[in-house]
Amino acid sequence: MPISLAEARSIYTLTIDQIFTDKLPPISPFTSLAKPTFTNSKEVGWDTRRFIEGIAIDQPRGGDGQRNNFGKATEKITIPPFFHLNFDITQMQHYDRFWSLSGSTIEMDVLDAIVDETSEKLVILADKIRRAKELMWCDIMKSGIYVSNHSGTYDFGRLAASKEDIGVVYGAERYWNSSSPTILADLIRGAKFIRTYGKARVNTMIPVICGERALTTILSSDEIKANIAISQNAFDRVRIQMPQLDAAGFTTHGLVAAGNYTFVIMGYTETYDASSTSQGIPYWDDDYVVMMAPNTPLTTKHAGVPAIKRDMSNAEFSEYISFVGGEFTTDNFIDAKAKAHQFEIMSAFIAVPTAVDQIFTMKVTTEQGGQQV
Amino acid sequence: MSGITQRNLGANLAAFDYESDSLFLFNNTTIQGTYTNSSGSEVTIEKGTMMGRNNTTNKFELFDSTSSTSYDGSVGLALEKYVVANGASLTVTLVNGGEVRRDGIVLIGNSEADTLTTVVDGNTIEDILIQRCVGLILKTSFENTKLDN
Repeated sequence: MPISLAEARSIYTLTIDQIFTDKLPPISPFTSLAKPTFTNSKEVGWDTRRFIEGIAIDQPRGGDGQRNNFGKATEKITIPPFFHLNFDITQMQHYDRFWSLSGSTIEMDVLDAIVDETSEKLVILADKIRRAKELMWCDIMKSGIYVSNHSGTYDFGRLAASKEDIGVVYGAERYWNSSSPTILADLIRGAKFIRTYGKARVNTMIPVICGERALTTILSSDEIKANIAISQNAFDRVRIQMPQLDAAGFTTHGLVAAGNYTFVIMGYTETYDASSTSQGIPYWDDDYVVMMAPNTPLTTKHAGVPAIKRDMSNAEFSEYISFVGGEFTTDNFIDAKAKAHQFEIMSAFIAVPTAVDQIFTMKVTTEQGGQQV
Repeated sequence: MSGITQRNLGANLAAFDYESDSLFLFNNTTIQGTYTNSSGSEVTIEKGTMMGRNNTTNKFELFDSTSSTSYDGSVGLALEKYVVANGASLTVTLVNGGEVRRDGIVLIGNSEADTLTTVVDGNTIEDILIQRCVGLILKTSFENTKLDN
């Protein structure tokens, strides 16, 4: 005899002894590199002072000397994109049992269940916002431009020279998975850009974060293989090892030397789901690599969000709205007309590459192996 | 050029470029005189604009390499910005001595065609400035900072 739906739902005849959930806290490698800052104001700003690596010119004795000036600085101000998610706890199954099981008294186990469920759903929504933050960082690392759905474009002004499509600039045969790749020369060019335009000390180890196709291409390339052969003769220019997951979430594969620079070859494996049928989309494009100065100042700037403040001792204004700061702000309120009890979570932030010229991005492979689409 | 320039980098991202560079640098001296605007329309005299005295009228005019009347007497650089209505007369103060930032000098008398190296009656405009003032020193400077992208 089949088990009826009434039995399946009953708390008297059934015990659920295991719950499986594939809810995963997001790993956010790029976000992990950025320092978070918080303010409760709606707008956030920062200043940059950039200098020229000038050379002093000798002057005649008894003369005036060279006049110097330090007159230029730039301030940037932004209203970050606003992330605002909510859900209705009156739609959760525990909610009905919460109030109806025994009339006016609340059963503690059901209360526990609904508190657990509500907080779990809030964490799931917070994780969605964290994924949006990681995707925002990927946009910044790829192009320096974040395109918001509702608050326009945020263009951090990365120079065109810091965003190369190798096939467009040098010809399709120069893609790393095409006929005439020059991987080491391309890496050196990126390091020089970071050094000369970004004013960064880059003769230490420069992270090269690779999309999946770019990574497999590097590791199987003839240039790297040739250096491996040299290394075996104790001229150590390449050291590829088993992948290691680092604390931020990148996979580290080893070191490659090119010119005066040492590059840390890193992979990026994280994905997100666009919908229940569109899953496993990589945050970071398979065909791109990004290089950056070690310790480049990256900042995730969080602004304030409008929240309901309640003060029941205040008869005239028992509720009011004010800006509050933080990574996430949660709130709940009841719609008396729809009989809905909504919980919401809010966050406003922008990924800021404070030193814009310390990042260098290249499109280095194509799906077609070097054929332009 | 001192001031603040706003650049929009998107609907909700703006950059404000701050630039400060003094024009009159050190130990400056001034003279005063009258400027009468008979051009037919309002005239804006920017700070640092070169002016010269017309000996016939004893008034200052905008320095113009093509007009002999504007450089036959003393010359100087406007100490501040003046906006003069058509037909109006104004007392202007001109810097005629001390250190001045060379690239801040404004030459608008000949529809901005003049430069400091333009030759007028055998002298460059720079030399006219030096000769007809009481010790004007034109200084170049090295800018060590730059604006963000």
